[in-house]
Amino acid sequence: MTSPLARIPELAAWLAASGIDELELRGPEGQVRLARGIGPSGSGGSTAAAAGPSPRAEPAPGTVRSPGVGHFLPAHPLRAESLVVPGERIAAGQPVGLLRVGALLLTVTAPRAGTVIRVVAPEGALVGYGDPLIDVRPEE
Amino acid sequence: MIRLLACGALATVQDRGRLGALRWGVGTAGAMDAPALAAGNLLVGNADEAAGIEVQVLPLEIRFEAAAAFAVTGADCTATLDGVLVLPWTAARARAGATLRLDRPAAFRAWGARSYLCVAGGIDVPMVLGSRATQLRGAIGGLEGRALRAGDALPVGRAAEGPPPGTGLVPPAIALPRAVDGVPALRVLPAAEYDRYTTDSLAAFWGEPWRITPQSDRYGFRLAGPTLVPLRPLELRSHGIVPGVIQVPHGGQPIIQMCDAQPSGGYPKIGTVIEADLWRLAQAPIGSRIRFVETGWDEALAARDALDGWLAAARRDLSCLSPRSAA
Repeated sequence: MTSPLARIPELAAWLAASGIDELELRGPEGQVRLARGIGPSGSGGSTAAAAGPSPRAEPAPGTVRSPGVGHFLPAHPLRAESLVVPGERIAAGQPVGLLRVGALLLTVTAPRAGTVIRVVAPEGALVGYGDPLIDVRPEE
Repeated sequence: MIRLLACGALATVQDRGRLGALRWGVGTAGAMDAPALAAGNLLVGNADEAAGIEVQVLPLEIRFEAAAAFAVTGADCTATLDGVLVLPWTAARARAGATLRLDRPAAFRAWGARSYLCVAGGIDVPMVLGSRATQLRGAIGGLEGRALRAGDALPVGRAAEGPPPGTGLVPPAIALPRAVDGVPALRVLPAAEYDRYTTDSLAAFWGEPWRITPQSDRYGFRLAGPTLVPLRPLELRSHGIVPGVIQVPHGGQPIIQMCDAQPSGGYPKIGTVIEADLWRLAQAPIGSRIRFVETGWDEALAARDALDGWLAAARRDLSCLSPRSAA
């Protein structure tokens, strides 16, 4: 198997073509983070940071953040009702939204119990890893 | 093994169908919504030929006697695993002893008429003529050739590793929508006796919506709408027919043959619903309306390619999530 590092030029080209600012891949061998123009070095163009601990801070408590890249959907496309509404109490692990990635619909779950304050991400918006999706007031 | 704790009428074990047995006069049977069953099998890591449960009347309640991955596809329903919501068209995992319940959806008008429960390993009933599909008319396949009932125990085959829980697929109803005036639009090829009907009848056939009557099931859908009148009375010898064929009995109200259709019939054929749209018809509830849209051979083949493409994309994108299965 070829090293994932060999695919960086290809991934960088995809980023440039898609308008996505940042891409992070994690696997058993390590992780790769590609960013456009906003890299840790502060320089323009593509930056690659490989095989180190994530420089990203832990998500603020209570906010459901996107687990990856995709189009955010507050409701399952077969259903009219959103998975959660403001004021609703949610349990840890409860489905609170979906990410549409190509043919896939990936469930976004609440990392902890709390009360939904508001759904931040607009329906259908392209979101990236760590983008805030839903504000939640965590339970004590 | 899974055990049925509660079961509505006409739930059956179905796979993709008993293909290649028409020469013996044995119909295909199989899932009415084949793409939904195929998607469910992909979501639990099953082979394409694995069997699942087709559910027509809710509720259905089962207990997992062993831990297993599962997915509920097809018509939307309210699925709960030990009381916790399970999303439609999404892989989930049940621990041993867990209870899965499929209920009527909360929404008054939910999409679809048939749901599919796929379990990792597949429902491992014996193969009959190369398929596990239940054919009620001949009482073959499935569990003892009959519909399921409460108390039944169903063997589950050896599971392979599937996508992680929380992985779902975009249903073809969303990815490949087709409607005219908000009514499902089925593409139809004119059939052998098409030009034996009056001009007014043919105009009405294409122009008017048709209602699915309560006399509709896995054998065939009887429609209600304008009366189709032949130019002169038609008498035919019995001939081979397949699912999708639209027959016109003497009353002038069409019947569309479905998965459990007998392999021959004598009514005149005005058209055939293309293979790529049979799942849309299968999900049209009794009392709902459909429309027919005229199509040609090339368009019918392109439609099949589009549906195959949807499944291929699903397979490809899922394989990105499970690198071991892709290697």
